[in-house]
Amino acid sequence: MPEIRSNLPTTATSLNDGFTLPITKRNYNRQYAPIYYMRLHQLMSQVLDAATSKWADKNVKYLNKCLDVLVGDTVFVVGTLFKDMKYKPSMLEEVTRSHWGAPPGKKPKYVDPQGDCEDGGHKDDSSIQLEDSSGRITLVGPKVQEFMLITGVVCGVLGTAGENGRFTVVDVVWGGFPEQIYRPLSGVNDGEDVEMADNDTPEDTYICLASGLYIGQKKTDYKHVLLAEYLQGLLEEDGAKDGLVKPKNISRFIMAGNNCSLESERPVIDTLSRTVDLDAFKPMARVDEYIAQLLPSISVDIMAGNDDPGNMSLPQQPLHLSMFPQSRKFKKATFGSVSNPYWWDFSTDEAPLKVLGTSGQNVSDIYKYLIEGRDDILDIMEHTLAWRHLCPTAPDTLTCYPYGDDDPFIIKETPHLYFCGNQDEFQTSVVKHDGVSVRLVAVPRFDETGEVVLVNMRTLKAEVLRIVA
Amino acid sequence: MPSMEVDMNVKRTGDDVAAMETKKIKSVTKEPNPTDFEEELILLTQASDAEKGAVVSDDQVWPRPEWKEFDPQTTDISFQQIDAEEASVNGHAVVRLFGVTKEGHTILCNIRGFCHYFYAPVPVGFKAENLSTLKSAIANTVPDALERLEVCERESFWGYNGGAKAKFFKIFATNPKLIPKLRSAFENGNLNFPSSHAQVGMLFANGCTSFDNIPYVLRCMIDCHISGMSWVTLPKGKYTIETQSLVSRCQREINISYKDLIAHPADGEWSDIAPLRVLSFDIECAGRKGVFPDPKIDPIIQIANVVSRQGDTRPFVRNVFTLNTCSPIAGAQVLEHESEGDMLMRWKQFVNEVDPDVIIGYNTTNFDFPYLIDRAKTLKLTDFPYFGRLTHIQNVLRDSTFSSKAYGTRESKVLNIDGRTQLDLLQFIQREYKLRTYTLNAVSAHFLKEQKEDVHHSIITDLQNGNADTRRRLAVYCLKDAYLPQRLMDKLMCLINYTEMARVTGVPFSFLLSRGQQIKVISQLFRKALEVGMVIPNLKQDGSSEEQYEGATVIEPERGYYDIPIATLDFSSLYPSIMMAHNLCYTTLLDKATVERLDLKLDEDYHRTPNGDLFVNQKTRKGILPIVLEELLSARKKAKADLKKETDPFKKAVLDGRQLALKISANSVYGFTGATVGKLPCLAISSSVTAYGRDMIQFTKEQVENKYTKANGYPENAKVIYGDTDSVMVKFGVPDLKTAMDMGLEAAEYVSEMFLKPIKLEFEKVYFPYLLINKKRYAGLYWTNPEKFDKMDTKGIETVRRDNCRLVQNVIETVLRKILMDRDVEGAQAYVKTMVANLLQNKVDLSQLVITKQLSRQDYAAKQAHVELAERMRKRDAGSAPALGDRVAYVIIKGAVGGKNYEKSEDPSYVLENNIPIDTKYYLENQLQKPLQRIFDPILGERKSAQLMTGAHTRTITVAAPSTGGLMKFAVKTEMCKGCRTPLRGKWAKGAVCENCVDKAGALYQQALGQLSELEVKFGKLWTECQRCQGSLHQDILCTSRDCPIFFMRRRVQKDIQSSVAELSKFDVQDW
Repeated sequence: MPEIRSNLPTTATSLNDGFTLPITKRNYNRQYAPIYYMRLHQLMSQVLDAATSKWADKNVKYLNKCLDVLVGDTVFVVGTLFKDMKYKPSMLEEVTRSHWGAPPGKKPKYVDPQGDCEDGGHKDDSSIQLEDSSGRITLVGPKVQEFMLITGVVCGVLGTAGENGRFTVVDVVWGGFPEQIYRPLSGVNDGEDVEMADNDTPEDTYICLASGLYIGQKKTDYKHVLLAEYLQGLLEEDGAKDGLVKPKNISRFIMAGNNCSLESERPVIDTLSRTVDLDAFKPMARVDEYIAQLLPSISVDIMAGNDDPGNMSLPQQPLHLSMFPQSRKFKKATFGSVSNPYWWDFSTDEAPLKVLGTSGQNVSDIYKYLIEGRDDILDIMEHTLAWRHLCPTAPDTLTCYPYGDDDPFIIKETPHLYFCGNQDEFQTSVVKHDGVSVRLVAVPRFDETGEVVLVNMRTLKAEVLRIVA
Repeated sequence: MPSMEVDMNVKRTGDDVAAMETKKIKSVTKEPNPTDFEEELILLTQASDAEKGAVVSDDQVWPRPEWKEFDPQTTDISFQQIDAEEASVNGHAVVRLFGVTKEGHTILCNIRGFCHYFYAPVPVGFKAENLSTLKSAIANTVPDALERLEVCERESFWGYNGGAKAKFFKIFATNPKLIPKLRSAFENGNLNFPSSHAQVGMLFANGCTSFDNIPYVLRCMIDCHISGMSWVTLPKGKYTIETQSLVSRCQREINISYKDLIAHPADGEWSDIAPLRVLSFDIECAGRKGVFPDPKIDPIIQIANVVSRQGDTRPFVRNVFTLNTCSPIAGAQVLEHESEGDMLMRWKQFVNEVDPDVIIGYNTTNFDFPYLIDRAKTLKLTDFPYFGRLTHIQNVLRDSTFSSKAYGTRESKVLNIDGRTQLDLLQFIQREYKLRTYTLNAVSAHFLKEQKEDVHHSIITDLQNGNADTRRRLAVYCLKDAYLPQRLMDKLMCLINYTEMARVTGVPFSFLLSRGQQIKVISQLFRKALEVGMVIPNLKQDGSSEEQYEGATVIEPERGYYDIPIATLDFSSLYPSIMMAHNLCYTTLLDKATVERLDLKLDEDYHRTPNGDLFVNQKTRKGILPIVLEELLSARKKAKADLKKETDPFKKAVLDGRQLALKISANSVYGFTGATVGKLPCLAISSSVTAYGRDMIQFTKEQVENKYTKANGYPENAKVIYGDTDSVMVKFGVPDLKTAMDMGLEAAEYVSEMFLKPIKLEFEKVYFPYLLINKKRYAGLYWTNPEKFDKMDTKGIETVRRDNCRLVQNVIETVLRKILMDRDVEGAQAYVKTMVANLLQNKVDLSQLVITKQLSRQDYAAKQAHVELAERMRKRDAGSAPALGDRVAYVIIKGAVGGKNYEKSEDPSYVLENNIPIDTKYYLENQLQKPLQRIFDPILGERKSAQLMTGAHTRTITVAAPSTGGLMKFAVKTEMCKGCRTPLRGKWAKGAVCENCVDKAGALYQQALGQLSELEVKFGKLWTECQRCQGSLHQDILCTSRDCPIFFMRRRVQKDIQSSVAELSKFDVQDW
């Protein structure tokens, strides 16, 4: 019999406020400029502080209009980056393309791997520019390659203007990790490696992170069943090996995006007839069933992903309760449908614990901006924290809601655990900076790997669990 | 902290701006916007520096290089003449050439001593001793007009006369202005003879036809062998340099007798083009809201200029004159001015200092120049309109109406800028290319593959009233508009092609834009006639343009879809070669009387055309038209051969321009003879040409069908399925391409043998598969080698016609691709059904439904949609309403039952703003149906193809609810359950579903959400695309370019997404 476990208590946090977009309050009579403006405006002081302290010894002055830079002057400017790339999808191209030609194939990356040239500048098909309130300057020099320079990132750039009006970059700074509520790591001394230092204890609780389940898909059905049985504690008899986390210690299951199978992907609305093919929506019913069977034993949070029946633009809203006729019975207890991105506050009296998660679009889009070899997911995740921005490439290449007076994707505090779903493989690390320490987790796609991630809520140690069917 | 304070000065209007949240945006947009174009400006600076290398850079240097002193006795001067005009020096008529030397120096050359003249036949009975009587009679009639009177032997151009020369008076006038009077005195027979010589007077009393009627400048150029844009050498010792009474801004003014100058044909070194300075400019005016700028009220606020040298790749001057301050722009000079008057005067100085040979721009003829002149008048700047090369000649604006069969009627303004050639790219493109619209946006999108930001003129005023940074944004925009014509000119090679056209036809450059086709042929005929001692009659235009003759033949098409190769045999240059082969010319035309008089024998001496007209054979006399044509075509052959050898891209361009000009010229000769309202119509020639053409097509059909038969051992009986004007389509019946091509080649050679030279039938291509819809309507894959097809070729199908909406074009293109390339007829039908359903369900983007038509003449007999709309728009806002010659964009909206189509046209932006329902039925029945049925009828049969438009997929219809007017005010909406469509009542009233459908709610929700998601993605893609195009993230998009497909889509998606959100919100009424 499935046992009923205690619910890991969460507290509502205002950090999620910006991610909630009540449908009746939405306004699309806006453009995207306000988001960029708010982003630059809100991150400006942190970037300036970081720049001033980093380049204090260099005796360089700050210029608040990049177009005022004089040839030969070494100065620093602060602005928003814009990267132009060969394979960036273009609506204009889509619309005006001659109907005779074959449509261009989808490229895995926006950037042309051959397009970067040695001197660090870019060929015509790709260029990096910095835009501030006065205008844009083009960034060049070998350093341009060294930094992760992505559209939408607010940063400070130190460099020299050349005859040609181009700005040769010497150094770049970001806002740096936001502040973090101090969390003493139980059992770990400062300076010690978390991975080595701590052992799990039988009292520890865990959260299980999964993504890309694509429930309803035939080929992985059995894996799903096994996972469900494991989480319910039904496999304990034969799986009770040493070291394997006991299911009873897992108190929350987070489904981070792409939960629903695409399998019955037939035209949902038949343009040739009026009838709505309700069968086309069956997979979501399976997700509901799947979750409903877990809910008596374990808390489940479901987050929308790219392929789920949620809205497409960020922030993705919680999957609608009308699609969960069974699970929604538990909505006041163990069931949660959450936005993407989402903050969990698991803080207790003993220790604060804040978790930030996305179903992965933010990092996957940045990945397309980077040439091979410089596109490590954990590195990207770390950068988003250092940039203080979850998804700088929105709205340029990642659709997002046209906010009018806010950029909710600015990261205002460093979480203790930060995960992104739907990645190729499980990866994890702990990043420590200026007294801030955060556990990063790239959650693999379950349908391809059969893997879920277990995170110890005390030590924040992350390990992978593979379901072999 | 950087300054980000709110700038309250910027008050912008515009639809887009109104739609956004204003507070923060203002503070962002206060700063100027550097764009990709600014990048380009910087690159231009660098490039100009780099090109010069060690030589001192002349980047941003206005004046021309100094022309050092030289000795006229030992120095030849050669220059390319770019403009010619008539002038008077000390009472004597001269022809003034403006030119540029290889070094880029400017010259004004007065050709002196050339008297204008014409011919009149010497009447029978006139004796040599009567000459003085005639002279005094002329003096009596037109005092002081006669310079000289000669009697010479000439032959009339019209009709074969056995080669006999006749006596002509050659009457020289003292002043070219008196020629018309003299001529009419001869023509009308009102020469004033004293009564003592009434007998001589009788000889002239009935009038006569005068000969050689041509303007003075052309006469002089023809007699001196100067053609348009050609090089002229002034030999040392023969010319004098004018030092007194200079009239121009040219670096040297030189006098020379017409006898001494040497004109060069465009060959070898004389085929080059001098380093002409080209100024491209654009002005911006601060208009008022809703009204088109008026020079009496609205100031000019900026003028951007780009100057380049022909042959250089980069402009060496880039600047912008601004009213009020303007932040610096990298790569361009900013010249700030406190008053508008100062700015205009400084600009005038700039033009004279930089001294362009050619001034280009976009719509400069009808907007920029008139506005400048009128504005200067308003400001009382009497010194302003003097930017021509002649110091004392004011630039004066005139109205002109240009009417031509080929180009239609256009009203336009004419501004004389003496010595500088004007080339308005808008006029050039309107002449040479058929496009949907001719706005600069549309044109640059078409030729340069770039969309251009289009800032509405009311926003321009707000930017101007902002601060130095907003004016900077405007200046960059203005500079871009000044640079685009330059790029278009380079891309389309207008200057080069027109230069070559001027050289080939001999007319001055300016004629090419201001005159029709005829003057080019006339120029060539006069040149040839002079060579062979002929004179051309000045035919009275009787204005009877009704006379018609039979045109080309069309072999009745055997409509259908051919899944086997169809070979196409073409006559190359059919009409010119007929004229050459059959010696058709004015000079070879015979009448019966002459035949009898000269006792000519049919076939031996002359021949009868299928039309019944008589022409002498070549051995009797070779016609002038055939000679002209031969020269043109052999010159073209040579140009093409040289083109192949040439490696220098610039010279290649020149040669290509030449061969094109030659081809066009050769083809225009036939049209000239048939132009009944023309100078020298001769229907005997033109109708004989078409008659021969018809015979040849018929003959070819017979020959091919007789030879390629099973009886003669060929696999199938060949069949000519279609033929038109100069080509026949042959179905040899063989299934493979290679065999069809071989047979086509063989057939072409076989038939060619039977024609007179130089008529030649050529095998060009094979169509496979081939869809023959009707006369002049077909489509097929075009193969010239059996391995791979070259392209998909369509003729007369809606894809290339302009009076259809884009939807038709897209659907037809896709359908044809599916049928011809994918060979997927099923897929094509499914596609059509989907598109029809989309149309009826209002899912087609508005920009796809826009139809454009030119507003040409006002006096349409029948009411037309676009004319009516233009009228209605004029009532709404006279300023922005389309003017004569503009293309009007409209969509057809749902109107009153029984309403006429012309009443249902509406401005697309008005439709978007007010959510007015589209008349989808009109689009289905009047736009899509016919072209689609034409395509599908031959394939599916009529019954089946009709079903494409009437099947089950047409049963669901969605209509937009208009936001204004009508009954909507009184209607009460009752929501229906999304599952079962029953009205929702009670506690379910505001929700999405009824209680019976609650189970289905999840699925229904997903359906609604799917639509929203799609729109969200579209919204994001569209608005970010515009951000990229404008080159800024922090500034709002101001562009309202109606030619950009994104513009309408962008507005539509905002509307759609809002209503989709409203639908979705109903699901939240219930507490789940």
